[in-house]
Amino acid sequence: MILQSIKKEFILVFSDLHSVAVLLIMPVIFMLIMTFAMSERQDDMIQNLQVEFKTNNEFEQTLFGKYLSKFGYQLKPEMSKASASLLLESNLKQQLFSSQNMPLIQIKFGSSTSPAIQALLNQHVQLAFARLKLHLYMLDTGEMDEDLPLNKQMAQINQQTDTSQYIQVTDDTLTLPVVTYSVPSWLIFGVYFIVLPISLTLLNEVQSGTLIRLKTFPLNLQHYFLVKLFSFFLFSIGQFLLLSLIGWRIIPLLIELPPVPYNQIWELICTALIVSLAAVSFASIIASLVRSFEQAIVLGGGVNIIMAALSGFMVPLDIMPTALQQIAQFSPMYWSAQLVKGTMYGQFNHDHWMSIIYLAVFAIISLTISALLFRRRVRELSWN
Amino acid sequence: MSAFIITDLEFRYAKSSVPALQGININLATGQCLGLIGPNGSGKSTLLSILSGLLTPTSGTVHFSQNSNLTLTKFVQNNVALVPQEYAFYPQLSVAQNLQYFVSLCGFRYDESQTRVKTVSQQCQLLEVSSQKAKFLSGGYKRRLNLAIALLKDPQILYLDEPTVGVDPISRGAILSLLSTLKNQGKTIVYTSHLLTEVQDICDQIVMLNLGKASYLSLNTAQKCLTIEFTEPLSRSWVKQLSSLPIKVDYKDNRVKAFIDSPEELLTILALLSSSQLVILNIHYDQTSLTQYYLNHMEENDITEY
Repeated sequence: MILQSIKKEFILVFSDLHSVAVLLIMPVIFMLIMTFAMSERQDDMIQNLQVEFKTNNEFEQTLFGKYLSKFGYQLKPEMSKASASLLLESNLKQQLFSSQNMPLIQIKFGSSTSPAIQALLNQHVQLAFARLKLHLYMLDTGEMDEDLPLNKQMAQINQQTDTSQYIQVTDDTLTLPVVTYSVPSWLIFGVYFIVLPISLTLLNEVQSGTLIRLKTFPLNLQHYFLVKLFSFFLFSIGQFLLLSLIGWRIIPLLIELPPVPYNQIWELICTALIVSLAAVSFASIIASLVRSFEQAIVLGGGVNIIMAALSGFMVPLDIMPTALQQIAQFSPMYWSAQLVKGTMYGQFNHDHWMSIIYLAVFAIISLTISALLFRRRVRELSWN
Repeated sequence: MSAFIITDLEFRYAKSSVPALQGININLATGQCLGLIGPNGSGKSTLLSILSGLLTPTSGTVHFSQNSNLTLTKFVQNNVALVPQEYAFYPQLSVAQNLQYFVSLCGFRYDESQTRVKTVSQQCQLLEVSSQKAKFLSGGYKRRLNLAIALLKDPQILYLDEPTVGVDPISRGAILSLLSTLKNQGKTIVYTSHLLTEVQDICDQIVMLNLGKASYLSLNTAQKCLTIEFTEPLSRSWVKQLSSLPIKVDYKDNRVKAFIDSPEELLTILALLSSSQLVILNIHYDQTSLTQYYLNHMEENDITEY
């Protein structure tokens, strides 16, 4: 019975194009988009920016432009669709050393310029101004030989303001290509969408009278429900492993990066087991609750999307308000993603063990609730 | 020997003041076929749900004679099979996969289960389509598969809910022939359908449900129907004379239909008609069909079917 049930559920899922799309194609597309998006380096983004730079060709203004250009910006005096427009005050030298704190540059951003780019340009403008101010000060005090060629003067200033040697990054988790860092989120997102095929197959069985027929077969319907969930659990593990193969092996190859190694293979298998168990048990509650296909799609899909958003899949948690960050701590998707990140990008630590415990408890509670809901549902069955 | 005996059965749905079934008494012999007919909402599905153990009667009893000490649910699981009106199988699976899946739930040993699949496939003439996906089958084959799945567990009692809806005459014939064979093999059948000719053909006992109450029809002693067609419409005087008879008579244009309960009634009406000058075009005298019975009953009780 178990083998026949597994075979049946696999055929049902694979013969439903929507289920295949939601479980496999959608997460792969998300992974591809995000990986390609993140594969564009910061240097490329800056070079592609259209920055309008309006000056009246004073020496100080030109020098500021040269310092800003060092970050990679292409500055042009006139542009029709600029990402940002910079307008410098005249007589900069005098203004810079006056005691009045007057704004010396106006920055106007284009409507489509993202907050991240705005922050980056702001930061670079401040650095360029700091270097300009130091440059002018050193010329003024004679610490810099004004007969030196300008590029050598600038090199001297850059060297004196370079602080990189004072900073050491010790984060040992950042050892893998940053472009694959969105893979765990979309992998988990896809795995939790198992809710749709479970709900839809169960609804089909109820609506076609198959469940009533099964009730008159010599089997316990609670066992039947558990075998059904077990079939989807196996499917979910397969889905997890396939998506991880695509995300960490195939997609990096497409963008000519080395594949991400599976350094902790047993931990990854354990993660696949516990994440799949949590996803299937969560799905079993929704499947036992919904009474129509519309409800299944709205409740199953909607809850997943909201949970993904709250777990920092769509917007990084770091930039979310504290209240939302705290809510994420209660999301099984968040625990699952943390676990996957820990397995692939770092060492298994206390936090990851806690995630496993949370997911296991969540799965047990969910399965208990869904078993009760399913029993009530079976009791309500009658011949229509 | 009785297959099951229903005694003074009553059922009320929660929060409903009107009983869905009341005063139902049925004694069905093993190997016989019970036809359940009645308008939509008359209580047929409720009765089938009770017989399947899906609902518990408010009062009264359902006793299966072969059931010694099992609960109703257990007895149904072991001895009764349902054929719902819907296609209660998996359309994405092939016929063979459907049969293999459902037989795996019956608790047979592997070799037994394979024998059951083979037997049932032959009985329902499904061998030639066994590799086809169920969703691509014709309506007739879908109905046969629906029936075949029920037969897998070799039930003693079979409940069928409109098993021939939407099928062509050949498939309908095949299904009805199979049901007759099963009946001859000693299977007890409960059959609901709105196709009353089918019910009349296959059933030994017919219960008509209406608003939860049962009327028991015995077709062997049913009244007969005399239909006479004249060359011209009946005159007013003749209509008046016919109406004065103590016999139920319907007339329309040039046709008269009389429902005869005794030979004396037949003689009375023939004597009256023979004294007329009307020329008879056609005459038909036969057992009243179940359809006529049904319609008369509905008319007498002023029931509109929805």
